Amino acid sequence: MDSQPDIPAVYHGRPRRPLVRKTLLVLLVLWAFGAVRGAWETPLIASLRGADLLQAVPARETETKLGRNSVLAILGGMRPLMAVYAKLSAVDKWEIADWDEVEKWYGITILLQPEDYQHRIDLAWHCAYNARAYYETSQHVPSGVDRAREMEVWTDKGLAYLDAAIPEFPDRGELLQEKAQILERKKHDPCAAAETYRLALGKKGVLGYVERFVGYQLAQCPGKEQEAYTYLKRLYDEAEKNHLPTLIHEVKRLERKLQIPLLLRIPDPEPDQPGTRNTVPGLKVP
Amino acid sequence: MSGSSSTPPSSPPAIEARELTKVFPLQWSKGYMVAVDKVSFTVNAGEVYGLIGPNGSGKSTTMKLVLGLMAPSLGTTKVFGLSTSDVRARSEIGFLPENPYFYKHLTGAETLRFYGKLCGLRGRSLQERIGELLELVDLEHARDRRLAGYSKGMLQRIGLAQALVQRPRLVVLDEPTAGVDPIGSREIRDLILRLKQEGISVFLCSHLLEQVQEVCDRVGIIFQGKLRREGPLDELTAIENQTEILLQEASPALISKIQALIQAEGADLLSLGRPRTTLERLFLDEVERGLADARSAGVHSAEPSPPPRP
Amino acid sequence: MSVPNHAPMPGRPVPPMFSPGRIWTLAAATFTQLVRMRTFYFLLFFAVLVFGMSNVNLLYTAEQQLSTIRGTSFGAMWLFAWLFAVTATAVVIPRDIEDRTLYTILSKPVPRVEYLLGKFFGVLLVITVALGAMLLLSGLVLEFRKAGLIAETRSYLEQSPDLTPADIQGQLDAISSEGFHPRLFTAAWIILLQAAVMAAATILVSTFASSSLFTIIVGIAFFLIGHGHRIAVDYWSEGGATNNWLAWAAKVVPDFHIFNVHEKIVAGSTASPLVMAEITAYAGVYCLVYLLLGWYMFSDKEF
Repeated sequence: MDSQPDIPAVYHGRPRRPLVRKTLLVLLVLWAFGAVRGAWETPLIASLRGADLLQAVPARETETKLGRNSVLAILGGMRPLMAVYAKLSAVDKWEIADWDEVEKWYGITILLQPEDYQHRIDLAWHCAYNARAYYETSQHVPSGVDRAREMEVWTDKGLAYLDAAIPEFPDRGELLQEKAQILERKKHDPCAAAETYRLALGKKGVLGYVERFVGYQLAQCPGKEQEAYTYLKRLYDEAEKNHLPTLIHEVKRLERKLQIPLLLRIPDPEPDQPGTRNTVPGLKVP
Repeated sequence: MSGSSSTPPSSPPAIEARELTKVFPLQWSKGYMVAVDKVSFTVNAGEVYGLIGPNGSGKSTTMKLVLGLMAPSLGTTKVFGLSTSDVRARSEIGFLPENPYFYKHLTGAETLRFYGKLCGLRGRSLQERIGELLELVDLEHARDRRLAGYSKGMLQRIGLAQALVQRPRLVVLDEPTAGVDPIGSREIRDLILRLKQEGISVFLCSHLLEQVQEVCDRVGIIFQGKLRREGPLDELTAIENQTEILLQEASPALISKIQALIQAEGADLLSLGRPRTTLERLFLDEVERGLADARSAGVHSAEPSPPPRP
Repeated sequence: MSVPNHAPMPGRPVPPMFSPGRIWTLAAATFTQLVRMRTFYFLLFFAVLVFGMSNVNLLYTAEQQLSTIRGTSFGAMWLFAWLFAVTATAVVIPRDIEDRTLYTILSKPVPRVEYLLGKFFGVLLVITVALGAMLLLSGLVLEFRKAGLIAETRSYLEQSPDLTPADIQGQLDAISSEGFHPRLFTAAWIILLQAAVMAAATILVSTFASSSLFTIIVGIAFFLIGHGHRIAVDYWSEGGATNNWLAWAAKVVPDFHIFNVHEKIVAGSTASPLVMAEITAYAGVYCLVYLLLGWYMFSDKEF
C-alpha cells in the first residue's frame, strides 16, 4: 500500500507515535518510583545489615576495590558456586605442592566469600602445616638453612592470615583456636598459645575442651606453673567428667614440681587408665 | 433453521463499520501509511459476508480492527451494537486466524477446553460442548492426539471449533482454506454453510474468489485500503445486458433454429457449447467416486494426516 | 444510523471484567508450555551438581562439606530462578504472537491484563515447582551426607580418650547444625521473590521490545545493574561524591541488593518473620509497579 495523499485531517503534520510517547512515560514513572522508594529502601538495607542479614559494603579504599566489589555484587548468588571452583582449584594446586597457587586460589575463594571464616582457617592451615611440612622434607630445596627459613616463612604466613581475619570475626572462636594450635604445635610457644586459647573461651564455635587446653599450655609455660596448677586443679575439682588422662597427668606433674603437700594431691589414676598427652584432633579429615 | 428465522428483526447488525481508518507511522521516518481508508460496511445478523482483495489490500487490518486487536485511527466498529474495544463484544465473536498454530503440546480436546475456560465455560457444560464441537468438525477420532500431529486441514478445523466454543453469534474467518487441500477446503465451506443455516453471522476474508462466491451472501472488494465495491453477491455478479439459456437434450435442429432467431432479432450470440464443470468439482467428484469404490470394496479410508512428530 | 448499546445475547452470562479463573487457565497453559520446552532438564544438571558436591571429600571439615553442598545448591537455585525468569518471560509472549495464538486468546473475552498476569504466574509456577524440587533434593542430599559425616566423626572422636562425651556431642551438634534447616525455606522464598521481580520487569520490557533477544539482553542488564548499583551508590556516597548519571540510573533500576539476604540465611543467619514480611512486601511493590506499567504498554499494543 502506498502513502495516501488524501489523508484525514487529524493526521496533518506527524502521525501519532504512541510507543515512543508511552516508553518515555514509563521511564518517567520508573524514575518517580525510584525517587519514592529510596525512603523505604535505605533504612531497610541499613536494618538488614544491622541484623547481619546483608553483607555491608567494605570501606572505600581504592578504585580497584570498587571494581572488585561491583563484580562481587553482580555475581550475587553465583558466588558460592564460583567459590567452590576456586577452592577445588586450590586443592588441585595443593596436590602438586604449588603453595603460591594454593595461596592465590584461596585468596580468590576468600574474595568470593569473605563472610566465610572457615576459608581463612583453611588457608592458615595450608600455610602453617602443609607448606611447612613440605619444606621440612623437600628435595627441591637442598639447603637445610633455606628449608628452615621457608618453614618459618609459611608458618608466619598462616599466623598472619589468622591475625588479619580475627578482627573481622570478633565473635568467632575458631580462628583464635586455630592460631593457638599453630602457636602450640609449630611455634612451640605455650605461653602465647595459652593466652590465645584463653581469648577464644566463650566465643562462638569453641567447645569445652579448649578450657582444658588453656591449662595444658599454661603448664608448659615457664614461670606459669602455679597458675597452671590452680587452673587445672579447679577443673579437676569442678566435675568428674574432667578427670581425663591428660589433665590428671599434668596435675600430678605440677604437684610434684610445685611440691604440693601429699594430703592435698589428687589420687593416682586407675592402673588401666592411660596417661596420654593431649591428642585432641583438629577435626580435619585429610 | 434458516438465518432469517433465527434472528429477531430488531437485532443490531453483527458488524457495523463506519469510516474505519487505520494509519501506521513508518519507522525511522516522519512518513505514514494508510492501511484502511474510510471503510464502511455492515454485516447483518445471520449473513455471510466476504471481504475480498489481493494480498496487502487491507483485509487483515480491517479484520483486526473488527476483532479489537487494533484500535482504529478514525471511525468506529461495533459488534452487535457493542464497541469492539469492549471485552463483552468478544463473547459474541469466534475467530479463526490464517494458518493457526495453537499450543502444539495440547490435544484437540485440551485445546477446546483451554479456549472454553477462557470464555468462562466450566464443568459438564464444557465437556459436552467439546464433544459437540469435535463431532461438528469431524475430529472425534483425534480428540486425544496432540496438535503437533495434526494435518493442516485438521488444524484449520480445530481452529474453527475453538472459534465456536462459546457459541458466538459472529464468526470471523481469515483465509480459512489457506493451504488446505480441496477436500479439506470443501469441508470448511460446508461448515460455513452450516453455520449460516444455524443463523451465525460469518465475516470471511479471502482472496479465493470462487470460495467466496460459493458461500457469501454479500461481498466487499477492498483494494489499497479502500472499499471499492460492496453489496449482495447476486447483484454484483449479474451482467445486466447478457442472458444465459441452458438447454438439456436439445437437438442440433433446435439449436439451428434458435441461432437463426437470434440473428433475425439482431442480437449477438456470444458463446455456444457444452457447460463446463469447475476443476475443483471434477477433482472432488473423482475423489468421491474413488472413496465410494473403496467403501464398496470394504477398504477403510483413514483421515489423511502426517505421521506424528517424535 | 444510531445503534443502541446492545447487551450480549440473552442467556449468555456477561463475562466478568476480572477473572482469577481465566488467569489460572492462562497460567496453567503457560506452565505446560514451558514444561514441554524441557525446562525441567535443568533439574538433572542440578541433581548431578548436588550429588557431585556431596561426594567431594577434599573440602576438609564435615561442617564445610555440608555448607558447601548448601551453598552450591542455593547458588544453582539462585542462578536458575533469575535466569529462567528472564528468558522464559522474554520468550512466552513473542512466541504467542509468532504463532498467532495471541490472536485467538485476545479475541476471546480476555482482558489484556489477565493475559499478562497469566503469563507472569505461569512462569512463576514453573520456578516455584523447580525450586521446590531443588530444595527437596538438596535437603535429602544434605541429610543423607550429614548422617554419614556424623557417624564418621563420632567413631573418629570416640577414639580419643581425652574428649568428654559433652565435647563429642558438641562437635556432632556443630555438624548437625550445618544440615538441612527450616530457615532454608526462607532463603528459597527470597530467591523466588527476586525471580518474581525479574519476571515482572521482563514482562514490562517485552511489552515494548521488538524481539526476544532484545528482551533477554535488557533483562539481564537490568539484573546486573540492579545488583551492582547499590555498591556503586555506597561507594560514591561514602566518599561524599555525587554522580548525577549514577543517581538517575539508580532510580530507574531496581535494587536487588536486598535479595542477597538469602546468602546470609544459607550461611546460617535467621531472618525474623517481620523481616521476611518486609522483603516480601518490597518485592510485591516492585512486581505491582512493573506489571501495571507493562499493562499500560500492552493495553493498546497492536499485533
